[in-house]
Amino acid sequence: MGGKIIVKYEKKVLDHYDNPRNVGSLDKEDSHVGTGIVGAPACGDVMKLQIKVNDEGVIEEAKFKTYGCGSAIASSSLATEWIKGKTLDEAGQIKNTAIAEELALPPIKVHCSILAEDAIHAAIKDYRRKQGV
Amino acid sequence: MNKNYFELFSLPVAFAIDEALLQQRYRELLLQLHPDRRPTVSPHEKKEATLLLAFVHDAFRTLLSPVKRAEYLLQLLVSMPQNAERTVHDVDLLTQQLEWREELEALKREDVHADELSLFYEKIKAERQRTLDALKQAFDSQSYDLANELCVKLKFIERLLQQ
Repeated sequence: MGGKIIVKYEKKVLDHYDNPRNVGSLDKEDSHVGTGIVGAPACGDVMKLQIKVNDEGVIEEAKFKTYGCGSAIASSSLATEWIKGKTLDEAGQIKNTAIAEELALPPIKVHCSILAEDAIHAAIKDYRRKQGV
Repeated sequence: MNKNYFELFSLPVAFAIDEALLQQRYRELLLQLHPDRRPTVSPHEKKEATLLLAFVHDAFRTLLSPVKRAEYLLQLLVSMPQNAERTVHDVDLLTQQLEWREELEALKREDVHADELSLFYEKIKAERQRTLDALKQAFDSQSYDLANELCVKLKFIERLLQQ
């Protein structure tokens, strides 16, 4: 009855939570910027992930802003780290399972990594839409 | 236990609910089922009663919460699956949620007057009420896709109010 489930966070989650990488925003009007915004109604998490893509199609900058639990913040922080320097196609192939594994997320928190994967896809899609690809 | 939650409490199957009546029927059922009131039951009957009590309790909690009630109704009326872990992509809804969370974050960070924070919560509570009204209308007019969208919105608003 309203009892809270205590989830013990792994060290890597705590590290990203305490020192999140790439927090912030990029100009969403910039034609080189793609914005992905996704949410998980069950936890009320909202995740915004933005990419800045250069003329070679490489992601040169990535920023995120996540309102949610530690695992959601860590998942999006790690996602921005991983997609930087990758092409859009490479970034689009990052799987939530890899994120979950790297952060050692418990089963109850795996949906946070799914949210991060969905955010990457949404950002790529938005960028491609802007470029008319 | 083959009754639906509304039938269990003899309430009409609808989103609008008489909360006082729900509370009253819940208490009546609890009294009826309480094991102390039937001391001579067999272990089997006792187990049955425990299961029934759990069912009554689930039903009560579901109908009492607007979000859970709406989800239950969508499942019951149109078998709309309610997968809690699905990702939402509604940009307008999420942008609004993001803005509210940023606003709340700023209000909590700055040394602002308590009234500003309570004004913010008043605003969100008003939005919650508007969403509840719209949800009732959506169910009344059998617009279940809209009801589903509004239910998601209500979920985000309730999470925000808990912060």
